[in-house]
Amino acid sequence: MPFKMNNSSKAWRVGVSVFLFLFVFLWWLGHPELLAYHEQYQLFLLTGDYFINAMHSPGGLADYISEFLTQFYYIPWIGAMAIAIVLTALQALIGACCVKACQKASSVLWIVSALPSLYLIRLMGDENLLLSYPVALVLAMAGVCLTQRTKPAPAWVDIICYLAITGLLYWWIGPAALLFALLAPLMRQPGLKGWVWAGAMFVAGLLIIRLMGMWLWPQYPDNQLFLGVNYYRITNVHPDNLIVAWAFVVALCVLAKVLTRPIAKAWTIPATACAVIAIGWWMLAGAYDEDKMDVFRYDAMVRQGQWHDIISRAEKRAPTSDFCRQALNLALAKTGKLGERMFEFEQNGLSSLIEPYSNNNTSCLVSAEAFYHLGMINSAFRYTFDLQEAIMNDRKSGRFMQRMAECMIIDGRYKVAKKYLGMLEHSLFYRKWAKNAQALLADTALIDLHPVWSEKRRLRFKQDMLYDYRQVHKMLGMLAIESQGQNRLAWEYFNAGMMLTGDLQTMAGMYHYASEMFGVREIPRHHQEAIAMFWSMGHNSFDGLPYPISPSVGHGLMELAKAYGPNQNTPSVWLPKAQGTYWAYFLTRQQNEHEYASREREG
Amino acid sequence: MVNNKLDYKYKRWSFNFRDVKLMACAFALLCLLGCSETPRDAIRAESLPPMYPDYEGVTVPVNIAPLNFLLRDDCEAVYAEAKGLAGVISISGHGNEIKFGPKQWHRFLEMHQDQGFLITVSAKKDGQWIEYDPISINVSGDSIDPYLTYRLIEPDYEIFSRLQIRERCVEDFSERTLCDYNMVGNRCMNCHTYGAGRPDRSFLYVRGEGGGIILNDAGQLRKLGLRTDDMVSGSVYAQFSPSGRWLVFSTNVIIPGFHANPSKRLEVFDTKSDVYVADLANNTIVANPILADSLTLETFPTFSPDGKSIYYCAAQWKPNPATIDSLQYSLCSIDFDEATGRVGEKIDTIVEARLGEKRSVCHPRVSPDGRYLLYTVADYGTFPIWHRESDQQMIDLTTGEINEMARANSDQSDTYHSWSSNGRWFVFASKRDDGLYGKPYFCHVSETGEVGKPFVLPQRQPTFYDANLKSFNAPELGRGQVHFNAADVAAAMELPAETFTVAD
Repeated sequence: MPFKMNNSSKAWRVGVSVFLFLFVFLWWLGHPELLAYHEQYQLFLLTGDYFINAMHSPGGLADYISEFLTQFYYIPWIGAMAIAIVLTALQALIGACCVKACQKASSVLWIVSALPSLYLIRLMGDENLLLSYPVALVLAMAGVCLTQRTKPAPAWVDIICYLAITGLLYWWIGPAALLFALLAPLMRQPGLKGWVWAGAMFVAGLLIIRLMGMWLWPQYPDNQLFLGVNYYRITNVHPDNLIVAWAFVVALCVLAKVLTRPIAKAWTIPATACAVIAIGWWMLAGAYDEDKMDVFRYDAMVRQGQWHDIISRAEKRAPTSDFCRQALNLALAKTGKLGERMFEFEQNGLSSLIEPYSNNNTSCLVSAEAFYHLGMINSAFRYTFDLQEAIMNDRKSGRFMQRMAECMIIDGRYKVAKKYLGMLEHSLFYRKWAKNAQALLADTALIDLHPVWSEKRRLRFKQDMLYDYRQVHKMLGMLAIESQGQNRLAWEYFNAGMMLTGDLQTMAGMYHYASEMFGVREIPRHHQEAIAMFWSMGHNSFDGLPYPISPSVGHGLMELAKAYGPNQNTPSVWLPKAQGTYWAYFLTRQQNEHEYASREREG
Repeated sequence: MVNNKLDYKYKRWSFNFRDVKLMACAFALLCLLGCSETPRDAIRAESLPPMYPDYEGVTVPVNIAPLNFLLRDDCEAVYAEAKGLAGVISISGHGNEIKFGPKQWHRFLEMHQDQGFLITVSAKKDGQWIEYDPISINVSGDSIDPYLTYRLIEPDYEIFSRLQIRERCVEDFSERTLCDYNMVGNRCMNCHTYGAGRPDRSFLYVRGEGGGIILNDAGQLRKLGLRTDDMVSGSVYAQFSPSGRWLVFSTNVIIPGFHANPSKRLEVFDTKSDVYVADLANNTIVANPILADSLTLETFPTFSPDGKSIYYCAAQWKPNPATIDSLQYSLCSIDFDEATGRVGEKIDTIVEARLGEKRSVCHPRVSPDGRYLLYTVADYGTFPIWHRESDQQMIDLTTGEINEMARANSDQSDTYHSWSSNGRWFVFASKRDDGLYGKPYFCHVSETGEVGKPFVLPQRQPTFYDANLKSFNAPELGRGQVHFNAADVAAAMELPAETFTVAD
């Protein structure tokens, strides 16, 4: 007798799916920084070549769908909706499979089927987990659902179909196809036969992967063939959690298969719902690393030029990494407050301003932006180019490609710029910008009228020098001087670099000349502190100091000197008097260097 | 009611054989209409077609793959007619692309060997056909070596990722991977180099821990740890001797630096470099102080085709990067005895570095007949691929006459050349298209040493280079397909590296 769903059961099911959809949507709406992070590490192109290229690897269709959806993260609410659709679809498909297998406990199973989606939200706090994995699970479960609803055929037909679909699914969704190989016979065949067939098909699935890998994808090592080429951004890393999520789905289906007694008591449904909510809460509370989210938040704000928001954020929660400090210092510089406020926040040497290049796709994001704003276009291009190259799953980036095109336009290298713009024109969200830029390239005289590009062109280096990271702060000084007072940002950065490296002699030596060039009327507080500190090293009073030092700065330094002299090794005595000043940074740094040197001597 | 539904479903999904025939006819008609559009009432453009790649006036080998191309223009249809004394082929293209059929193309080239032909291109724009002036192409009966190997690498600065060494047949579009980043732990790899173009004698480098030279020794792969304690680094630039027994190589301490000026990008220079010879039969290294002078930077060694000389580049050591713009290399040679492995005592300077002139010599390669030596000149330094002023020159070793090869060079970097085994062609990497991404260009050299206009490696899709973000580094021509693949290289990487000792 066909099972009929009563109204109450139907309402529970719809309610669960709608609740899950809204929860996922709101969750991701609350994490726009993570959406922005994902969006910038791919460039989805609406071309046939892009699709064909995606289909060249195992799991290509899941990648293609995932990347298609990920491009919508550009607008956070659409991105949040895309993820909500995927995770709700997964829940509904698992629920549908379970309900079909065990209609006696349909509402309870439907509620429980939300757990894998909730677990995936937890896993997606790992910024390297790609949407490909949830998409692959959805497609695998769709396959299970469809086969579950087909009429029985002769055994040999079923076997051939299972094998063929497993192979096809492996091409389309990667090793998540093993979910189909295991669950399709288990959920379709009755009783013991289902278990036997499931085991056999799983082994056959492994063999299919082995053979397809040998014949079609010899370039992939076994770990990628069996655990996924593009579920995780770092292609040779395969977190165990992905297998746990996979096993979670299997466990629910097995539960549905073994449940034989009806669950009919009225309290079971709300109790299950409460339990799922409690488990979900347990899984998600603190699942996202706040320090990491801060990095992504600062990056997103730098990309959007939200300088005041960056400073507000730092005031509420002190930056915990060089990355965040670079963003804060850039924001302070862009708002003209670097010399006034930077030492109110913890600083950590030159890397608080500019990051030395490292081989990963995140560390240098803010530094690349800083170089661009400073007018060091060669360095901005270099950092951005290498950032794109460091994307670990061999994708390009709309954000980086856009910046590289800008750099090439500013440098007058239009042919390369056109190449990048030509690619961006095939994207959804960068197309309009690229077309406008192409229009300017058609009449390059217009570039000199562009408000940003013409300014950057003026501010670029005019002389050639070879340099590396160790000279970067000195290069900023040369850039500032070359600009004849136009590049105030470079001047701010140069002084900050000198203070951070403790090179006060060079700073004081250039200050008079450069401050006149930049029309400095009132010397910023930290600059006064640095100059006063330098002066005090060779003099007993401030008489004769060629710069106007405010009485409060002079008095503060005197007070600090009194406290510091007899208590050098007791920072708890003198540090409170220097709080929020350059002196605190300078003296602490000096002490750390001494300690380091003495440790080195002691071996 | 239920039956009605079933009937409806049946009707909706069913069709009979007549429908199939009708659909097939309609499809064939559509194809016919779509493929056979030919120019009518064309107006003359009085200009050459805006064709990419540029094939106007080039000389191509008789065995080259179809020269597919596109028009840099928005057009609804394009039509091309290749016409020579011996025949005609005509092609209609969709959009702005023309792709020749391989069989028809090769037959046509065979018929026009040592002759020229013209391609007349017409484009349909806004419903109107426009006929451009014909372009001329010369077909040389001198075949080019059929295989080309190159490393695909993004022209990046400090990092590398996802490198591949590939082998492409230049007679068609088939390509395969000889070394893949996936199989060697995403390590750095350097270019594949043949010994006299022989597919059974070649090597490539896989860098990093556990890496080494992967030597293709008569089809067997060996892993060599070509380094001794006295060397400043592992081997960097290397070439086989004609017999294949000897490998001359340089060891270089390489430092990168970054330019501030927007017209320049990256500088890579040596602070130390020496030249050695390895005996691959006995796993020994010949170290001669004359080639490992601490006051001289020696690099880019190569053997002459008779094995009696080693050519290399040498510069006086200077404190760098402070004096980088005066670091100029001369082209030198020294005798070598293949029978004993002995290096001569006297250094000859073939092309002297001259301050104030574009005379820093890099990448010497002697033609297979030993008559010409092809090299790159740049203002200074040892990394011409990043010097937009770098050009190739060719010296006639019998007369000392230098050919500046104006037709072959461009206003962007042209370097990394390799001869075809018959000495009538060479391939080189050129950034002439956009100044950033290097592509392989082929150039004909006549019996009298006259150099033709080069053309880029043809691709099946004419849009290939527009979407390609990799550089083709150090392209090398080979006489046949090498007998290993990426899996073989990965297996060879598991071997212990053969060690070398210094010869007495």
